[in-house]
Amino acid sequence: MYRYDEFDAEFVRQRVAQFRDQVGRRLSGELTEDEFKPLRLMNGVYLQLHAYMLRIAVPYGTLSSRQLRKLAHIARVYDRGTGHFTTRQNLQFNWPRLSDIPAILDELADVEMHAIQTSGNCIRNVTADHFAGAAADEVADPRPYAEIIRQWSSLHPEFSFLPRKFKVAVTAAEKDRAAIQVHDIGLHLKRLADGRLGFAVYVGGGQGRTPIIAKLIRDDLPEEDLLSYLEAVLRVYNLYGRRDNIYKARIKILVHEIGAAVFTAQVEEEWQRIRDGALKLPAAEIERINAYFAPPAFERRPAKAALRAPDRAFDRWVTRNTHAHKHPGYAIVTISLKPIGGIPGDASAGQMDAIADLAQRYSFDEVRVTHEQNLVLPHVRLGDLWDVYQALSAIGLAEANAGLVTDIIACPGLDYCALANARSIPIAQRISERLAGRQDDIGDLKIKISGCINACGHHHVGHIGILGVEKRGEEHYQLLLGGSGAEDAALASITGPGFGPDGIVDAVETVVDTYLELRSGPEEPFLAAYGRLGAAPFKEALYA
Amino acid sequence: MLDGASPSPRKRGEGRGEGQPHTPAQAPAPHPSPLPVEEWGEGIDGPIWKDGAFHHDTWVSVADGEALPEAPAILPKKRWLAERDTLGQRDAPLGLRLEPGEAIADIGADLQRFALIALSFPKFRDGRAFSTARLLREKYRYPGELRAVGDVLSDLIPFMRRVGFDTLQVTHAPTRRALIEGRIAEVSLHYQPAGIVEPPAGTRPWLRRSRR
Amino acid sequence: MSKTATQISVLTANRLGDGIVVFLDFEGAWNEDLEQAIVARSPDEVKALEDRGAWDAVHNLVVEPYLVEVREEGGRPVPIRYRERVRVAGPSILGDVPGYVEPAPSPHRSSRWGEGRGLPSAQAEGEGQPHTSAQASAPHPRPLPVKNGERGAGAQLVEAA
Repeated sequence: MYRYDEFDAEFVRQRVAQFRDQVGRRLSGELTEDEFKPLRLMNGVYLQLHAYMLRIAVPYGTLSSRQLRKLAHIARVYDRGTGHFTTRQNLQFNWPRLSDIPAILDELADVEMHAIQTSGNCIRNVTADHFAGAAADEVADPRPYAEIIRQWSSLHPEFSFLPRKFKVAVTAAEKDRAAIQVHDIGLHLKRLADGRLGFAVYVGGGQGRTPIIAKLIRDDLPEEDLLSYLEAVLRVYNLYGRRDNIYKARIKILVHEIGAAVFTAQVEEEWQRIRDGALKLPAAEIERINAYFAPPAFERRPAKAALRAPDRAFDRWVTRNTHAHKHPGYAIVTISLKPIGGIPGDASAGQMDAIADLAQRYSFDEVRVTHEQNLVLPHVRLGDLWDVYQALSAIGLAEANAGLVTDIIACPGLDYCALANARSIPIAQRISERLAGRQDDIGDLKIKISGCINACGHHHVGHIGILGVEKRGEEHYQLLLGGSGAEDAALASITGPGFGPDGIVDAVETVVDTYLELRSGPEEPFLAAYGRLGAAPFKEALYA
Repeated sequence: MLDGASPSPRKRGEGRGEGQPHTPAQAPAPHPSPLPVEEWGEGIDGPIWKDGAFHHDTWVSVADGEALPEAPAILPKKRWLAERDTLGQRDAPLGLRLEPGEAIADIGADLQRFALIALSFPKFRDGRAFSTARLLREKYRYPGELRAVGDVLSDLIPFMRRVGFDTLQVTHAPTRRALIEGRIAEVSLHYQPAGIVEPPAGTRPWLRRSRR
Repeated sequence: MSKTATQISVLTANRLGDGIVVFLDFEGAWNEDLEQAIVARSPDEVKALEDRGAWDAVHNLVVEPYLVEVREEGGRPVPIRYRERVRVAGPSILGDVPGYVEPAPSPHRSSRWGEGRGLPSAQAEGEGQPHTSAQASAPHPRPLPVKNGERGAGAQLVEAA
């Protein structure tokens, strides 16, 4: 993974000093809240319902054990012993004191981490496939490009006051595990016709109030043109994105309103002017960054598992939570942060420490955060899976439910978030408890829950999506079906009238029962069955 | 009304400057800055920050309907478009003021006639002028004075400098103090090239450091 | 904020230093306990609360003050809106949060005008000792809608004691 050199370290130190100065000026009153707010947002400091919230950047979801231990330490010393992994591969603390935040940022800088640009109207954390560098189906590791973009976008003087936030995701496989088509810019790393590496560039995807699937605006961007092309896109957006209405300010609205063709023409015109300028990516630089992501020293013939008594729970876990690795003898392990009835994406300081130990011992010191609020140990020898499983069981994180109906994504919702209309976590908990007993039979089924229209729970791309709203002062939930954030990107459709907090859990069970009844067999997963059957039988079951 | 203050109509209670209330309540509240707001005018430091000091503004912003003075005059774009054919004989320098959203493509050929271009930041959150500044410098090669006017605050100044602004019109008292005292907290290392020439910082292709 | 609120209301905000939810109490301090909140029952009282909140926000004690409409149940104010009830009670799922520990007392808990102007700066952060100053006993420029420190006792605006 990327390692800071002196420049990177000094940059973060200066940024922390700058923010410390800004916090001091806020606490003394020299800065008003109105003036301070965009500054604190550029450092990931939100004011939530109950307290501040600090969102820490985990670039493309990659962490070392040392970094994860530091996060655990910060949770203990400065927060309340716990943290939450988000749908953008970041980590959130829910109770930091504003006056402590400069000290927290200092601690993060010690391990090459920061909270720069995790909020605000700027370019946010660049996310990537959480199986990058390990999955067999990727063309190349997308993370070097995510790192290049991360650097270029850090405190970019032209793009720090955009109309609205800006999110970029990168993937390198045909299977899209980074949901690139619902990002402001989605990049698909691939081989171009001449065999060199390049990108398909998607622009204008997003969820929220107006969910839109991104448009492919260029299918064959050579890798050396990556930054100049992005700069052209951002410049067009910065100049022409709407600023009159925050709900119409994302790039997706601009692309929608002027049309992809006009938008693309403007980008291409600007890009032609700058493409051979200072931002052309030298091959040497790509190689230099690539070197940080070189594969670890895999054993040629890793030891196999020792013989032991059969254990069905372990077998289920291996089947469900491990994924094929490109190197023989290894597996990619998903650590589900969705214990049955638990809070999706949360981990205690103790659990973080334990996982850090596992990463160091069994996964070449690397752990990943997924946009589905789970963690991943990317490089585990098959022979070590049993020990890893035992260790995860000891900390209550061995639920074999990756991708199952209880592997629910839920935003923090009204329990934490000042923007929310309804709580999402208790809904996730109750659905999980209700359906846990049947989860293996139900199979692949992604439920995503958002507590408000901002869609941080990604409900628009859930196979089952739930949107919390406020109706006559009480919590109310809309049900949507048939969405997907993968390469078959699609927006879920609302079923009909909404449900109360009890009703929505029943409704989800009704949908599941209908699926089980009507599927052609266990080999037909929910999304496929829904595609075949259409919404009608589900609506009938829900509203008859 | 101050020269060059934001031309866009401000709602009551919004915006900055001496005496403007700055809280969400309707009740008038003192300016949040705990130190007295400076006034400027005859004999006091002016609002234009240039080359490390505040100066009087030698330019006059021409209001709608006002005749052009025999002094360096800044015209809004609309005025320029209406009168450009008649301004050939003018001796005194001309300046142009652009609001965010005003195009420059249709006056690209005219830009060299302006000794000064003022780009407005009606609200600090509106970052369009950063792109306009870069286009003026890099696409149109504008050689004159590029001035930032409007909601010019401490924390934007390093960005403004980097995209090519030469001078700043600063009316926000804490920002003025910070400039005078050299206390603009900034990061001197940069990950990307911007509008101005900056010395490289190491061997990686885009790293720069501030000139000072 | 409603200028013509006829419901009874309390004033809430978040403390600047730590973001914790607080209510303006009948002594003019920002108090974590809703039961201590001063209740406004008339438009004049509401206005007084709003002015007080705005003033204290400008003076960096709290951020984002706003009115919460409440009803009285058993003599205690209960927010009418569901969101506000959640905000008062804290996350409903706190018992399930892995690793959650209650915090040590906040160094910011003295959030009251007069105990120093605003909060200690980040550099000078001590253990939250309130500054004693001659201003501690001076009347607040934005008086509370109480009479002689009685809670919710009447509609007359007087200088707080």
